[in-house]
Parts: sequence; C-alpha cells; structure tokens
Amino acid sequence: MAHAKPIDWGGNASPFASSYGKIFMWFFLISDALTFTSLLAAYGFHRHQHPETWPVPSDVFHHFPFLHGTHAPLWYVGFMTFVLIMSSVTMVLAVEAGHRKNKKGVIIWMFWTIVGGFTFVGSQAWEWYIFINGSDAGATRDFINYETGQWVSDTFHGANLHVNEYGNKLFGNFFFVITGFHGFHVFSGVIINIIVLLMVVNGAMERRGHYEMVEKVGLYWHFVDLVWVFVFTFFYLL
Amino acid sequence: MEFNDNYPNYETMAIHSEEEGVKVRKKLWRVFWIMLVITLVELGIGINQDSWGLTGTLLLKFTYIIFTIVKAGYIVYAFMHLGDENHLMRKVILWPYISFALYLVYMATITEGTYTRDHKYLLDTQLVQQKQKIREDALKGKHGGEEHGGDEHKESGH
Repeated sequence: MAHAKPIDWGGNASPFASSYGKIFMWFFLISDALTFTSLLAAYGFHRHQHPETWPVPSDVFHHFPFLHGTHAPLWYVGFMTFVLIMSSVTMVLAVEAGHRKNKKGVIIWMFWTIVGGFTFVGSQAWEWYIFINGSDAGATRDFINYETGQWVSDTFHGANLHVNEYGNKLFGNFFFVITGFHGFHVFSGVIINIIVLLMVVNGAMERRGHYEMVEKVGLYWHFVDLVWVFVFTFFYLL
Repeated sequence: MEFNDNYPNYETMAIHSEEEGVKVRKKLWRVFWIMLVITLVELGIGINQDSWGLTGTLLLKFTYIIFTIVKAGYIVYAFMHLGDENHLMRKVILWPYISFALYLVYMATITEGTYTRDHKYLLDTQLVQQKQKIREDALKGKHGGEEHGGDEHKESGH
C-alpha cells in the first residue's frame, strides 16, 4: 500500500502525518507554553498596576563578571541570550545530523548543546547572586513596626521575596518565579539531553533505525529557547 | 471492516539524504544569523534607550514585542520544523494556543489590568482604611494598649 502524504484524513494514517511521540511532545509543549503565558501575563498585569514604582531593568542588571563596578547594562544578559540561541542552533544541527543517520554528527552537536545549557544555567545562577546581594549602597525603607507602633528605618541590600532595593517588590517576586521556573526547564533539558546523548553513544538509535528521540528532545530544547526570548523581552527590555 | 495494520512509519520517513541535508543546514544557519541580528538590534536599542529618549514609550514597547514575535516565529517554524509539518498538526498546535494567549493578554493589560489600576483604592477599601488608621496613630505617637496593639488593628479589619 502506497503512503502518499494524506492531504485530508482518510484513515490508515495519522491525521497529523507524524509519529505518536512527536505529537504528544507538541501537546506537552502547548500545556507548558500556557503555563509560561499565564505567568508572564500575571507579570504584565502587576507591572501595569505599578508603573511609577516598577524598576527600570537596565538599572538593575548592569553587572558583568570580573568587572566589579562597571556599568554595562544588558551586556551580560545579551551574552546569555546568545548562548541559548547558539545552543538552539547546535541542537537543530544535531537533529539534522540524526535525519542523515550521522551518529558522529549527532554526538558532537549534542555535546555542544549541553555545554551551552550548562553555561546558561551557571550564568543565571550568577545573575541571581548579584540580584540577591544587591548594590553596595542599598536602599532605605521606613515602615511601621506593628508591635510597637513606631516608625522604623533600616537599610537593606538586594532583593528577595519580601523586599527589593530597586523598586516594587513584585518585580523581585516575578523575577525569581519566572526565571527560576525557566532555569528549572533549562536544567531538566540539559539532563534529558545528557540521557539521550548517552543513548546515542551506546547505539540505541542505530538499533531503532531512526533518531527521532533526538528530534523530540530537540523540540523541548527549542521550547526552552522560545520561552527565554519572551522572558528576555519582558524582564530585561521592556 | 477490514483491519489494516499497514500504518506508516513516520519516524523513518523523516530521514533525508546528504544533499537535502546541505540545503537544510543552509536554511538553519540563515535563520541563526537573522535571529542574531534581531537580538543585537534589541540590545543596541536597550543600551541606548535613555540617550535616545525612548525609555517607556509605547513605540519602544511595540518594537520589542514585534521583534520578539518574529524571533518566536523563526524558532517555531524553522528550528522546531512546524513549518514543515502537516497543516492539520500546525493548526491544532497554533490555533488553541494563540487564541488563549491573545485573550489572556487582552485581559491582563486592556480590560482587567486597566480597571484595577484605575480603581486600586476602591477594590480593598477596608485594607486601605486599616492601613491609614495605623499610619495616623503612629504619626500621632498615640498607640494605646501596648500589649495588644497589633491585635486591635487586625480585629478592626473584620
């Protein structure tokens, strides 16, 4: 029986002309995308509420490793974005090598993808460290001690879930939740990449006769990059 | 009804030749350069936005959002190969997601977001009054009943 690609579904084939695994990887990614969309929409909602106290991102993230005290807004996050786009390219090259059943190519490109993923996660950890520790000057806040009913004034540095020296504390809350959730995705993507790389090295894909597993983990990896494109815009640029 | 077990093997149908691979790689690298240029333009604007007087303008926001959507489109269509998939698969992935996302953005910024911003003080009058009372008391320096001062304020909220 010939399998011409069905234009409209007539049975005996997948209506989506795709394998089961790939379709369900896409469905999982849609649900994950909805989660991130909701988080970013909530961020937009709260940002919309507090236009006057919302920090300007380029005033918050202007550090660069090993260059203490320099004012280099967006350079480091630009580097992180480049690393993630680059690892997306190496991943898609691994998928392409898999389509040619080129085991060596898949291994090389997946290896570089994993290196890029670890670089990104490490950069994010550094960014969190800087954000949590804050500037040398810090900020002063006045608040009422509810126990004594007195005004209290103290200086604090950096941001956490309760205070944020740069402005509205909701900025810090959303920053930690959304970039943390994204960083968790990157980390799990790296782990899954390592597992699939080991399977490729052991020849599991050759025994199966196709490298679709690489394509599926590639979909997940590109999705992580896709989310970062939005996080980058909404947290660092707007 | 006749049972047909001759289901296509989509996994191996994706395999292509070396010549096709050269073409695919060329396309992927072109997408990479486009995305790199867009990112560099975004960064250039971001770094210079203060000196160009663009900070916080609507024009700048829409520029960034359009750039972002272009990049997202390239990732989904080229890197994730959605452009090469069956049209039904493309639609079943994109249409539900896009309609939901648009509605959510509409709610978060245009309707609900703007309403709650403009009516912030109507929404929780009780809390606002409670906070004001504490503030006034503290400014006056009068806070009778040290032992249960905190509880008193909490109870007045109910």
